[in-house]
Amino acid sequence: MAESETSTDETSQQHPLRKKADEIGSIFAERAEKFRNASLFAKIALISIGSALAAIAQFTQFPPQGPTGWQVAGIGASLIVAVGGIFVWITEQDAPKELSIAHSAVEKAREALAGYEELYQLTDEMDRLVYLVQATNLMRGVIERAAGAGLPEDKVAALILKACDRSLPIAMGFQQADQWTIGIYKASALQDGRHELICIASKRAIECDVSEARRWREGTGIAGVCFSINDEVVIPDLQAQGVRSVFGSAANEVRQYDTERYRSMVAVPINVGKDAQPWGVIAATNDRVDHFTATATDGLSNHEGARSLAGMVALGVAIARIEMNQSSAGGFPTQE
Amino acid sequence: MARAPVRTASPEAELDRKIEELIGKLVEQTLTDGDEARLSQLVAQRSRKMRRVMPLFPRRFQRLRLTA
Repeated sequence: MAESETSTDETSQQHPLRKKADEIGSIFAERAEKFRNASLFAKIALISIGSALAAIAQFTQFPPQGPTGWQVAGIGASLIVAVGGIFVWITEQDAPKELSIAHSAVEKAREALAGYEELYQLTDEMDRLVYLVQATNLMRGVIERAAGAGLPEDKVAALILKACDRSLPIAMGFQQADQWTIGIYKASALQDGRHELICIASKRAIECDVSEARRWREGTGIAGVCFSINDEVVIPDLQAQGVRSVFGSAANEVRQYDTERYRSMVAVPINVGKDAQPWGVIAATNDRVDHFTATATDGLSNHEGARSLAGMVALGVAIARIEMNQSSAGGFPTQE
Repeated sequence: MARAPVRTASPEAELDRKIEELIGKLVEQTLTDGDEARLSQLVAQRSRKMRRVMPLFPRRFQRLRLTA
């Protein structure tokens, strides 16, 4: 019962193209069947019955002295035609049916190919998943080693990115030819009480010193908005109508290569403990439109890596803070 | 017939141990350029160990995709 329900669901959810292919297939089969019946009629009626009639005609009205030599030859010829008709009927009767089978075989092959295509995409996703697991392991390793080492928060965050600077870009789906960036921005309080995001570590396809990275005031740019609303911001195309007017700011210099290098972007807040405001933001960009998308899809999205990095930096910062508190209270407890 | 030697530790665990050592150096900030290259190499090896799907997709299939 459950199986039939599943089957009905699958049928009702068939792709429109698949439905069209099925319709065309059934029309083709119907036509082939009609052609087969017509052909069968032609062979039986026109050849077999015709030859039989010709043979009977040869037997009638024999002269008293018996059939002439030509009449006997005619009877023989009629028999040969009848045998030939039966032979043709047997050997050729299934040709349209065979064509129909061939057509359905081609359709099955296409379906199998589509299945392989899906598997190929799945392989790509599994590869990225492997690199995400690897990146997470490396980040965890840094946090574990950094605990008790007395490193400041910024340094721990930078080391976390440094450890996975090869695995993480692959996990985030960046290709060799892409122009991409991954940056850790830390919020720094300004005199007016607002915050400014300063890049403390980054990994880029085209390397650039962190001191040259732009700063973003809270509420400006994608990273600034992410910080203000304390939520993820995913922009599939930064050049799309209206995006620049919402997220752009005259306060930040526009660079010549911006439109070419930064097309798709994600910003994830780094939330530590019960802090009301994020500690900072992870920002990642790619020069391909739709590399990062907010559309809900099954599977591993390209910005899962940014989420992992944000979570691991938050953990590293939290441990560094505990260590700092322990240190001011008399030292960090160790096994020794 | 010679029996295969019994392994008590997997190659993955061995790679992980070496990676951990280098991560320790990274945190202590004593990682040399050579160590950094070695870390990349070990991470790549470890990732390949986890990727067991590719052999299912031979070159023949990749050609098929291009011509389909």
